[in-house]
This record gives sequence, structure tokens and C-alpha cells, in this order.
Amino acid sequence: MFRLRAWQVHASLMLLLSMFIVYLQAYVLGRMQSSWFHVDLATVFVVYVSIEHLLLGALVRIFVVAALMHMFSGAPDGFYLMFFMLALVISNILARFFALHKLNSQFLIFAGIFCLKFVLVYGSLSKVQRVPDGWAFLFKVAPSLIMTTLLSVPLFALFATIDSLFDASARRDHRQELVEN
Amino acid sequence: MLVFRRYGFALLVLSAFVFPFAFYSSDVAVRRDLSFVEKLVYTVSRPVEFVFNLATQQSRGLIRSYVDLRGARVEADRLKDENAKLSVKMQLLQEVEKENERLQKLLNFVRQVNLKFVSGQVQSGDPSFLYKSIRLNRGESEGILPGMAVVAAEGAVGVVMRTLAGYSDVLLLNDPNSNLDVIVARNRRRGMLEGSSGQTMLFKYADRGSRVLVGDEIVTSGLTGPFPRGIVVGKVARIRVEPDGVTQVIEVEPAVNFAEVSEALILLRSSREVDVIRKLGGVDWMKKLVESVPGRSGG
Repeated sequence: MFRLRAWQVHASLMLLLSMFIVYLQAYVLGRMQSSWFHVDLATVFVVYVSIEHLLLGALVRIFVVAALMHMFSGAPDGFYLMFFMLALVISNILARFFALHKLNSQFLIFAGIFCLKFVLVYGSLSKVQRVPDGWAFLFKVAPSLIMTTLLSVPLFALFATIDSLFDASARRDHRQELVEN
Repeated sequence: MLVFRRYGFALLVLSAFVFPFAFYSSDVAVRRDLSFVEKLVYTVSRPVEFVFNLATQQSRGLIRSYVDLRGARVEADRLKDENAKLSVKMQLLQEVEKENERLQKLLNFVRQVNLKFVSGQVQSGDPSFLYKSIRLNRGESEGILPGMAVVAAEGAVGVVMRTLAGYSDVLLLNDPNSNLDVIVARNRRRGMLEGSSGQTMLFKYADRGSRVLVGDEIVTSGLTGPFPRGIVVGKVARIRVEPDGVTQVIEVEPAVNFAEVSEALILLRSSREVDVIRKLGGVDWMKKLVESVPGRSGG
């Protein structure tokens, strides 16, 4: 009889979770009028996966999220792939210097990466000569930035709980050992 | 696998930092058709979409029914009153229409407004929260093509930017990448309406000497782009002078509240320019042309 291993179930569940997150963002949060509901769950997920999962698995999940986000969004081609790859690399580099199992470190790194997104969007608008007024742009994105950054901590905890169900935190254990040593 | 473990991250770092250079220096189209990988991911995720579609439609229906019931009596009375007024108005207008037809015949006018359309329901919004697009539940199978105009009861909504069998993505008029050829309804002065990162749109490149006032209605020109002329786009909300003292920034409030649009009509009349290109050079040539001009959409 065909039996799935724990990592296979974990990989499938993560794939399903990535789809669920993008659809939730497009179907529910994307239709909300108030910017305070514009929580960028996909970016939180990508940053978490980049920090906590092994590189190959993280890459696959990031490609899936980037493809789905591009499919729903009016963003220019390649925008999400570029942003998510940068998020993966930056969070991985930072993970070598900080003890990222602590939530406050995760929070700071997430806030930094999330700000990077707005810089990239600003750049992509400049590309088509639609440079927005800096302050107006910041004012517009502020609610989304604040809400997403605040919610990133409980969301990280939620994703960590899901991971712990499958004992899939090999990378975290490895990093813990490094920190302790 | 061993090579990936050893050099994977280094390669990733390299590609992640080269990618932005390629992205910002390239002249590729803002949006193109979905790639094979994206189509594959979409196909795999269809069951999740089905569940979300069903759940959101049901919940929206429930909320709408509740809201409708709350003010039903007041609304019914108001509508009865309005109906009576409108029937009188309609009788008068029928007379005017007959007269108009007679005059048009006299002047050899050809009736231009003969629109076919498909109605669609809005399924989802833009998950980026920064770019502005919506997805309608009508696609290629209903004859919808990229470049077709989308309107709601209140006015123009946007332009179809991408289609698949069961859905079409619409770039809203207030998206930063949107352009539309418009005129001021009061004095027929022409200009270009561009989307912005905010909720308003910007009226640009107005004719020399155009006098635009706050409250002026902006309508589609019908001269270029997929929209027939005279469809309401918005009203001038603010006019401010740039620090250089010469340039004016005219902000236009959209007639349609894009966040509340639940149904829209897709006009089965594509852009005249796109039609000509399609007939002359075929689809491939048109694709190449569209890809070579970044940021072009709408009018």
C-alpha cells in the first residue's frame, strides 16, 4: 500500500497553504475597500518559508506563490519573482547573523523586506513614467504596511505551529545548534 | 543535487541581484499572456479557486440579501415614486427620439451605437493592493479578447488585459499603467486620462487653452481605444498648480467606485487600432507591437 512520508505530507500541505493564502488575498482581502484590511499574507508566507525552510523547498513554494500572484495581479511581468527572490536571498543572508527563531528578530527582518517591496513598486512605476509623489505614496501604503507588519508575528507563529506538526523544522534546529555553540 | 547544495545559494544570490537590473532596464510589456508554468500552477489550484469562488459568492449573496431586506420598504416607496416620474419622462423622450430619428434620416446619419456586450460578475481583486485590476467570470469562450472595454452602470471601469477560457482580468482605469483618451463634456476639449497610485486619476496633455473647472464631467472621446464616445469616466475633483507655476495637475474622481463593482459589462467591440493591426499583420505582429511599448493600455 502506498504510504506518504511526513515530509511529503508537509510539502503538499505547504503547497495547498500557499494557494489558500493567495486566493484569500485576491478573493477576500483584495475586494476590501479599506486599506487597513490589505494584509499582504503572501509576503509574510514567503519570508517565513525563506527563513525556516530548506532552500529547494522554499524555492518551489516561492515560485508557486509568485506565479499565482502574477496571475491575479496587474503588476508588471516578473515583478513578484524578482521581489520574492530578493526576499529569499536577503532573509537567508540575515539568517546567518541573527537568531531568527526569536520572533522579534523575525519581525524586524520582515519589516525590512516588506519596505523593500514598496521601493521595488516605486521603481516599477518610475519605469513607466508614473512616479507617484513620495509622501502621498507612503501615506497610501502605510495602513497596509502597519497591519501586515503587526500581523506578521502571529502569522509566523501559526506557520511554525503547522511546521512543528510535521517535525519539519530541521533548518531551525540546525540554526539553534549554531547559536548555542 | 550535490551541486545545488554546494552552489545553489550562490547562484540564487547572483540571479536575485541580476534580475532587478534586467527587470528595470528591459522594455518588455507590462503584462503578457500567462506562461506555461503559470497556467500549470493555475490548473493545479483550480479546486482551491472553486471553493473560494463558491464561499465568497454565497457570503456576498447573504450579506446583500440582509442589506436589501433592511431598507426594502423605504426603497420600494421611493422606487414607486421614481417609476411614476420616469414613465412620464419616457413618454416625452419617445417623442424626442422619433423626432431625432427623422432628423438623422434627413441628414443621412448612420446610427453608430450598436453595441453587443457580455455581462460578468467580479470574482476577485488585485492581491498586490498597489496595482489595480479585477477578475470577471467571463473569458475567451464568450468571445472576450484583450483590449475590450468594460463598463458598469455608473460609467467606464477599465480594459480587458488578459483572458483565459473562464475568466478575464480587467485593468482598472485608476491603475498606474492605464491610459484613456477622454474629453471634457462641457467644452469637448480633449486630453489623456492616466491612472495613479492613489484613488484618483490624472487628466493630462489637455489641448492648449483648455479651460477645465472643478466639477467638469470627463467622458470617453471614442476617437481612439475600445470605448464608444460619451461614456462617463469621472468628475474633476481638484486642480492644483505645480511648483514650476506652469503645469497644472487635474485630478479626476472616478464615476465608478471600483471597490464596490460587483457586475460589469464587457463591450464586444475591441479597439479600432488593434483591429486594424490584427487584420494587417496577424496576432503575432500585434503581440510584438504591444510588447515593444511598455505601459500601453486602454486608449
